[in-house]
Amino acid sequence: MLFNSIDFAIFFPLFLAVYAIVHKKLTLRNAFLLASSYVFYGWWDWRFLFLIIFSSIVDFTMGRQIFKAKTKALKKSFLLISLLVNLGLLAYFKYANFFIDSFINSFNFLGGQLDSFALNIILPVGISFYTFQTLSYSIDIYRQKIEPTKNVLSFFTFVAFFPQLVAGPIERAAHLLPQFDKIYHFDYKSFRSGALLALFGLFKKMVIADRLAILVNQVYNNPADYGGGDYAIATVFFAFQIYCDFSGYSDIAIGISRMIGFDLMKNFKSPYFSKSITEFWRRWHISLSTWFRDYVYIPLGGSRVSPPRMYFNLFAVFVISGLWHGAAVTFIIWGAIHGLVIVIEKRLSKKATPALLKESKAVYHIVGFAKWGITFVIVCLAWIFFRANTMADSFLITKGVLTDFSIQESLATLGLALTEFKLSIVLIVLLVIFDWIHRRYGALKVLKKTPWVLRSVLYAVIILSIFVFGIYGNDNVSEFIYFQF
Amino acid sequence: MKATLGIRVLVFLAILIAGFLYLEKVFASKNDFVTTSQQFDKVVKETNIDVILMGSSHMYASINPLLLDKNNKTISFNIGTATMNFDFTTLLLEKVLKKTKPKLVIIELSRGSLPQLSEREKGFHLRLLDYSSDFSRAKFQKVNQYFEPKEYLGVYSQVYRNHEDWATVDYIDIESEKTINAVRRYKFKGYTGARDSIGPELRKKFKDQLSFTPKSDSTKAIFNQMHIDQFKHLKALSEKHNFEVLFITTPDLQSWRYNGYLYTRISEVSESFGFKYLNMSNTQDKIRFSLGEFIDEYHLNLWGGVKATNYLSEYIDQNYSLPDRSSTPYWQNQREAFQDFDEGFVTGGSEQEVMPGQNLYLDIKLNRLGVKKYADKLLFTADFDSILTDTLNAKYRFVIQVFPKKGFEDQLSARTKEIGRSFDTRSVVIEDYNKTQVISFPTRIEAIERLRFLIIDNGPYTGTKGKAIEVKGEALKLDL
Repeated sequence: MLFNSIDFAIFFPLFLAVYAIVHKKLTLRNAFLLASSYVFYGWWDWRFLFLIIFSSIVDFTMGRQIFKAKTKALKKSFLLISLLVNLGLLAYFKYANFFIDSFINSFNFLGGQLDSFALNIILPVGISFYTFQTLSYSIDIYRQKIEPTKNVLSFFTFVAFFPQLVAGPIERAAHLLPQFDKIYHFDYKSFRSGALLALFGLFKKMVIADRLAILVNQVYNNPADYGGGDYAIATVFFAFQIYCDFSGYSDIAIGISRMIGFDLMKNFKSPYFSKSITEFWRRWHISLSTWFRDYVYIPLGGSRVSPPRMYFNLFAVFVISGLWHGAAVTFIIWGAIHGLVIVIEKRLSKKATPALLKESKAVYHIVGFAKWGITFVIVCLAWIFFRANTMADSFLITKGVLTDFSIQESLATLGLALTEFKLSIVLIVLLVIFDWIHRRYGALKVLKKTPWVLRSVLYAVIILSIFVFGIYGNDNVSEFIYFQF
Repeated sequence: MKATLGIRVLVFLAILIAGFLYLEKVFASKNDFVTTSQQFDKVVKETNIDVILMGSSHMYASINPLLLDKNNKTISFNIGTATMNFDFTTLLLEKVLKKTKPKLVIIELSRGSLPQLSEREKGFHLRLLDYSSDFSRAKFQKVNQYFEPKEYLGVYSQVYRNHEDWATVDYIDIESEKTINAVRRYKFKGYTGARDSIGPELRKKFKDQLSFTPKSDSTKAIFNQMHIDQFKHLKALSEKHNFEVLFITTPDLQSWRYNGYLYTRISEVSESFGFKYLNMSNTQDKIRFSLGEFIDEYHLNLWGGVKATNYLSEYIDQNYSLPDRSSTPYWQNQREAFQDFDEGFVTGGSEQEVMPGQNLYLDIKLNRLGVKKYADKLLFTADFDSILTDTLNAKYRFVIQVFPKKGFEDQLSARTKEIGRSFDTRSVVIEDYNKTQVISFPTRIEAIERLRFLIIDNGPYTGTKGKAIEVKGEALKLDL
């Protein structure tokens, strides 16, 4: 079920109505949450519910076994089982075809002759997210950071919790799991702020992301028909599309969780205001970047190793992160670009800050602005690989952006009518202003200072704007980009 | 604290609902039926309507309620809407019955109004559904019957349905009506009379059609239980609300010869329910339509509508006893409209052809030119021929100049006299060479010395294109 679908618009109020009745009885509430989560997920394809249930059983059992095991070796063995099962499922469903394809290509490259073939595998929605979530549970128990839960219902609900099941944020057991063991007391302020956040997320997804997607899809799906200027417009649009799409999903997930008394971690903090790629990853998909930091980068040695090894670790983490996003070379290149730039930044950061920068505020701001500009350009260039359908398209678009500045005579050929194009620009500008205000003052604080009647008008305008300016896609609903990962 | 919170929530909901209702108005579909239903609502505020005409475009193009009122001294309204399926009749009728108490309901049935709805036709029926209350059970039943659950929101909310028009809708003048091209169409009380007539290609295709004898056909499966159920529903309504039902089939060129069985079946079923059925497609001999009285293969034009309405008037007169409303203020107020219509379209002489085909410019050939005289105007109908239609459409204007005989210069228009010209003139853009151009030419000239036709650019004047054609002397034998 998609958050921006009619199905969810019917499902969620019904869910809330029942939740209002059952929320004070812990077991009943969790049972209802679990059932609702399975309905939410099964709405897409009920067969894959067995996969979530299987994954939950394995991790619940292994968590207990890791905790109970007397020896380190035994603990390790149980952890290994958990890792193998979870990563095995992920490898099969997500990467099998990629690995087969890569093997055949390499074999043929070395002179062999193998015909290409692909397994008929459907990628279960959200498998990358819940797999990482359950993995972190087993690893944290192994590291003795948490104790396993005895409550099977709580654990199953933690794995399948519908607001964040299919596209995160990827929660840690230490933060989310205990919340299933606490009775929820209705809090109007949390409910309101959650609803507002969810509403804003829906606006970002339906009004901004899906509108920008029209132009992006037109250009990226037919790159041969366009020039460098068009690629540049489409790439900047994609930068905002994916931001609004994914942060919109996270906002809805966090918002509706808050409405029912659950706190999820923040996943975005105005990433496009970053002045370095390092900072960008502290602001973009925070739940994933911290996951990689805690479960890949640090086990590899983190920054406690020699500089060359540390640079390698950093680079490797981003390549793996690219692969996590998708089983294609383009995603690996995208990760590699980020990894490479972060390594360069790490190397440069060791040099002392020039005195002029410390003394002159104007110079400080100019340099800051330049850093922001360079960071945004790098992020956009990397997005080309993320969005392009093939490697050939990636190179064509990158070359076009860097060398050819021609633009179509009519913007209408980019897939958006002129009025829609103008609206898209206005929406991007409004989004940037909003992010700036939010970053500097906090949107909720600003809202609190606004008279309540004006606030009511603003909320109503946002809801009605979604109706009027929303893009409903094919079959009146369009998927979130991050569902495919 | 609780009261404050309650008030805040209520105020928020009030703002939200008010905003939504406003947007529903802003994004309300603008179409012919909205105009028709607005006119209907205006009329029922003034008077009760005795005769309700319902059906598809066949109905609103064929039966002119103004003429019916004049002939039968009734008050009638044509609430026909494009592609209306018979299955939606009672939905619309139930809405109508809440506003007025008709004595006679005339329902048009045809080959096109009986089958299941296609996707395109589903869209057309949103017009009827928009007119019904969102809280109506009958509406929900129809929505449930014909639409997918995912379409419900689009059916019930016009903002949701039409939101993509956000850049073109009028956010201020939310009650604005759809603009009707009065030059091409005459519209009154739901009736729409086209001033064009069938084009040359269709004239060729259907030249023998009017003398064709209808045959039995392969449409046996069309009439089914769903239609019988509608008849039952209509019967119940007619008994409850005390009105009579007459089914009619209007003339059309395309399908009448294939529908013999269907017409017989409608006739049998109507009779079994005690309803009458008038099939005007089988009465071509009596009504004597000409091809020039059709706008296309399915619909009559304004002049065809005059004939069809007069025929129906006679039928009503013979078979029904309707109250005489001629003394009511509403009927009296229509007198001016009767007169305007008569003078404009009815009492004119018959159309005369004034010239054979001649070439005007490039390959643009004026194949036929007919002229009729009405009270203070000449009505020209012109058929062109051009193989370059795609490139020439809307590029040129067709100009007609009417010269008075010597001694009758005082009949020239004031404007002509003012600029010192010796002829009255009028021009129209030729938008489609496949359609008959109808040019209404207001003039007081009765003694015509010659007519002149030419082509000019549709833009800044650059002189006559090609050669002007003049018709005078022996060639101009007009009896206007």
